[in-house]
Amino acid sequence: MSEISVRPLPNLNQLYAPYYRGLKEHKILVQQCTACGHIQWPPRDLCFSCHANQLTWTEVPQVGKVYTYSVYYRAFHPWFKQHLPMAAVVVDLGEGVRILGNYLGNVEKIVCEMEVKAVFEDINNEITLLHWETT
Amino acid sequence: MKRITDVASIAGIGETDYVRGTNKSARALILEAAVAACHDAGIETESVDGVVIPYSDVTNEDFVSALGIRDLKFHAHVNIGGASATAGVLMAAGAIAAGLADRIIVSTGWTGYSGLRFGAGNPELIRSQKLPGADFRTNLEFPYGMIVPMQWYSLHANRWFHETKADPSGMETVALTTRRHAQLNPKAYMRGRPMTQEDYQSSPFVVKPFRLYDICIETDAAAAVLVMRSDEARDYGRHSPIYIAGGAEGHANHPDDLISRPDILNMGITKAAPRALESAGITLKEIDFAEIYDCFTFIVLRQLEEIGFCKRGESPEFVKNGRISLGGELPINTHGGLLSQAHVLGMNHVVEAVRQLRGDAGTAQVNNAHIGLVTGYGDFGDGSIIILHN
Repeated sequence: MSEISVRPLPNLNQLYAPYYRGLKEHKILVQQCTACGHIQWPPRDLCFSCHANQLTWTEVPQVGKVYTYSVYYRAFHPWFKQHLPMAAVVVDLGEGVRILGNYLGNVEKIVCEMEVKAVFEDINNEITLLHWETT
Repeated sequence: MKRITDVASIAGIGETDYVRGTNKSARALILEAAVAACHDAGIETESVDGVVIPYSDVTNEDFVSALGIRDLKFHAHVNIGGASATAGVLMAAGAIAAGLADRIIVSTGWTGYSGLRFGAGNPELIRSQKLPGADFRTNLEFPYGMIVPMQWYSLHANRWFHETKADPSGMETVALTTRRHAQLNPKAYMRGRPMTQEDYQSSPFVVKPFRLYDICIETDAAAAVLVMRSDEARDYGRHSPIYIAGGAEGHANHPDDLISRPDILNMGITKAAPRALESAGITLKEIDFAEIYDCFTFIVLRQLEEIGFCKRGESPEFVKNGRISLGGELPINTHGGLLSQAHVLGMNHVVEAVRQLRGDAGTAQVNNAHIGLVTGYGDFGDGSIIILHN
């Protein structure tokens, strides 16, 4: 399959498979330490707070505020060319969790602190991506 | 005075041509620059006994073979993106102060134009960038088109504008100033291509808030310095030694991930700058000029703030009215920088600082240049800083 027709996709290794299984079910799951309760994202081998290796998964809310964003007028991988202009928003979901996804509304109207909600896009049988639009 | 202060000096500088289009490999460029630095210092390449390798994959064995090094006593790789060159010079000074080696080459470069370009949209970009937190990039960012440095920097910039209400025209000032300085630099790619305010304001947005002229140029280039024990440099060197008075490296919180960094404005240089000044025994007021890592106009503004020249959000005001131009209170990027001279991973900033302190900068000479500062910025906020004097 030509590289141009395929969007870059994640690798579903042991740290990411649970997250992507969650997205498939339209849930946002992130890591939680069973030793100290710390919630963390992105997923890591050890707890970022107490350094234990006893991490499990927990669900977080699907609404948050835009912490920051990027608006791109150029594609840095050929697949994205057909979708320009595009934007990514970094959404603060509380508890220190921030997740990046594409913004589905008018990319010229993004403002920090605006409220957004999750939108799930099924790409294939295994992968669902997480995007955001205004509430 | 700390153990490292003035024990080592930069005794030689070397540069390849700065071009857009070469058949040479990055390795060839890096090795050529190293040889040139030895010649400039007036020493035999064979007598080099240490090598520090910022950023590139060139091996210590490559240097031994290319320079005919008789007895390599020290080597190190430095991998903090654009902060590597400056941190590498500091590492060489540290190794010399520790007595591990006496003549250390620090050389870096790349085929930033003829090889893989950040701006080109080549699918290779998602496979071949050497990045910290590679899994985070592949699994959480690339699928959303978030792939190259200018996009990461835009996340920082947009939050900075939101929190501080800083005046975006500060970026224009940096772009125009560095382009103006490049007109005086014989090696600057943008020499002969002056930029007006109209040129800047009509250049297209590539990734908001960055216009084309807010972004460094892509070039094929390498540069090197030869760091020697200061007493040897005084006795044998072709030039007066340029002393390494001090320096430091610093890393941002959550160094492998911008997105989860609690304060995205946090930078490594905030931690490094006070350490560097203390190690050199000087204050900011004594700095005569600064070569600030300028992959983006915006990051120059932020480094001026985090180093302490002004407060967060105030850099656009600080750079106004010619303060950062040649002839001003704090000339910066007197060679045109990565924005207008060439992108040599910041090693060209070290070389320019040495030229200024030798009094060899020609029409771009800072009057009475005695103490200079060089910075590096890498990956997601790594910072490095060295202080040099004549």
